[in-house]
Amino acid sequence: MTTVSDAVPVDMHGALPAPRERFWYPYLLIAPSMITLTVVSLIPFIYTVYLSLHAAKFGRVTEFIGVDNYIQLLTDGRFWNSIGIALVFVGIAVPIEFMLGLAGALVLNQQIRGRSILIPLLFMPTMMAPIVVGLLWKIMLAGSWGFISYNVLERFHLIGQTSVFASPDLALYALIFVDIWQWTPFMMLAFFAGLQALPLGPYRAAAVDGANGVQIFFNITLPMLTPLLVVIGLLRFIDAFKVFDTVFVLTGGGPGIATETPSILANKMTFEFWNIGEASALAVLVWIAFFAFCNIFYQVAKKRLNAF
Amino acid sequence: MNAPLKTSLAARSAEASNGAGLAIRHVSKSFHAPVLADINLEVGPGEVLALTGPSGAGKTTLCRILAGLERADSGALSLDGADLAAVPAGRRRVAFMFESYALYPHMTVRQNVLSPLLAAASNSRAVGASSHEAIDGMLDLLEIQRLSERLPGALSGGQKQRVALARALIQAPALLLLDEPISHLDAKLRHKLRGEIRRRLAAQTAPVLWSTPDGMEALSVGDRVAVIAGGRIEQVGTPEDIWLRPASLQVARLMGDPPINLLPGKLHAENDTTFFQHLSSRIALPAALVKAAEAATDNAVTLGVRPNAVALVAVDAAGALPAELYSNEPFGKHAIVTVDLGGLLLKVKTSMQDAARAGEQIGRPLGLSFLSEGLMLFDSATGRALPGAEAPKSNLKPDL
Repeated sequence: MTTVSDAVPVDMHGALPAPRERFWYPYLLIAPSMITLTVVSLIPFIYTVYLSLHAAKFGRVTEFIGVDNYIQLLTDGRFWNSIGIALVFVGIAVPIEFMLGLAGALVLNQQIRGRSILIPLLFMPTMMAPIVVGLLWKIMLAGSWGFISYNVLERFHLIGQTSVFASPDLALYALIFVDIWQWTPFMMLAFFAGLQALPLGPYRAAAVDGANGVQIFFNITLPMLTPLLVVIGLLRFIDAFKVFDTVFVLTGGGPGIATETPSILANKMTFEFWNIGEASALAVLVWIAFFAFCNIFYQVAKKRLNAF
Repeated sequence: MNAPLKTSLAARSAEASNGAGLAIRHVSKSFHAPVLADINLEVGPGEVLALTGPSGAGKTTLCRILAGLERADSGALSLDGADLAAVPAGRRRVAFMFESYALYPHMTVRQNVLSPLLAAASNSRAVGASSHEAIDGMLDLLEIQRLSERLPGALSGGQKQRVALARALIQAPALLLLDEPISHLDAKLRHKLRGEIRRRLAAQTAPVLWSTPDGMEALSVGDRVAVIAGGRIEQVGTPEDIWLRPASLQVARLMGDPPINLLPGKLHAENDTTFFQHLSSRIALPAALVKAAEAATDNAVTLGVRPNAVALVAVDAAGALPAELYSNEPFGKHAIVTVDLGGLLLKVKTSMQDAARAGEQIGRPLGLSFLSEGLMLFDSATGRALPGAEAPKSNLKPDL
């Protein structure tokens, strides 16, 4: 009599048998994403590390050369130039996007008219493919006939050249401008969503206590929003450092190497100089730098800002 | 011991009529449906008005209107003679303890308690060592000193409630609003804090509005009690008034543990005696109620009787109503016996000895006797107490 109930687990609730009895069940659930990540991310990454340690020119992997590619890269002024350009790009674009985004989010968070129309419009730059953004601004800022070049820059003699992209001094700032145009609305909407999710209780308590607007912003809004600000800021920082599409379309890294970011340089090394080994070394170095940076940042943010 | 309290109360209400204290006049508010309808209340300086009523009665809305977080649709508010509605929330000098606590999630317990002082001082240097000592004292009183460096996220509901309470009590406001301040605490702490908070409130001069869904808590903490239901004030009075002379069935139902017994029935006059008749049970009304009963003869009425005004007697005792035992719960200090009187369940709060005599056997016949001092009559149609149906000053033992 007991043998039957021993052999067949009685399912009282009509549910699946307890998952813990089948050890592979959780692995089955995460398998699709693990397989995808392995194929499109892990394998190419390992292969990149492999390439970076070999002489690989003109599509042929020849011999193991240790860290020679890295030494070559680190002694190359062009590599350091690209890092410097990325830092200027990130250092100017991201803080401005951050400040404008936060200010815009605070405005949106007021009960302003037409918010429901404004929000979908604000999504547009973010929804556009970066390559389209690049083309759009290439047309707007094209020498002589570009809409902004013709109507604004030339009319008021704001620049010496006909195109901002032709000037080694201005091209980078034009790219920064485009990045700000593209990403500020995203920051604004992300921060706005964060503001909307904040609990109302503390604001009511502050209102009754007679706290003023400045006190409320610095003592309530900012601290409660910090985790979101940190995460969005970090994501944007990483993303801006790796900027490729808009730069590729607008300047291709030029004039000369005036706007050559690490991503552009890696692309040139691969498809123009056909030095795949050194390009791989560049990719690995950038990865190591970000890995270290994000870890340190995470630790600091966790301790100091109560973020994460 | 009662005398000084009474005098001070009289003095306080006198002051209230001179414009000191809080006055709420004809305040109405509706969101989609009416929430508050023509509320009139006065709270004298230093007086504690307990506002009680079922959840959804409008207690929190009234507090929010007083704090300036909501605007009344109509009516007037005045505090110490000045028009309160004209003052923005931040300048009303109101201390508001929120039912939902509304703690700052990124600040420690101590910072939360300190926050209203900082906001008032507008720069942190103005908050001196004395304030910090006061905070220490407050945290000790509420037994949350050891939590002072924790964030609200790491606290239980009762702990959060005490932090919110500390944040309200640390202030020296012009008006103190406590919205369900001790409802989530355990019984022992609630007992301790009821007394401690009353002591603190007695030492200050701001009017206090203490809202609670617990009628018994309202009776214990309020100098006066206002009962609100469905957005209307049902009755305002001293705890004794509310307990002995509830103005309506609503009020009677809210007070008491276990709640009052209500028997629907009719009144009959026969041979100079007035009876209350519920099914076949007849109860002769005491002299005090006869006058009220005359006006309502043959109307549908409801007889209210507190569980401690019903006695278990022998089945064959004179005038005993025949009932059956339904359940018997011994509480140690007293017992609650539920009896079945012709299909209506009545609660009897009685001594352990009487309850033991009633036994445990379900369905066992019992005799019931209603103590004449504890009877109240209500008009079933309107729910109001019959005029003149006020119970005299009770000689019943305190309802423990």
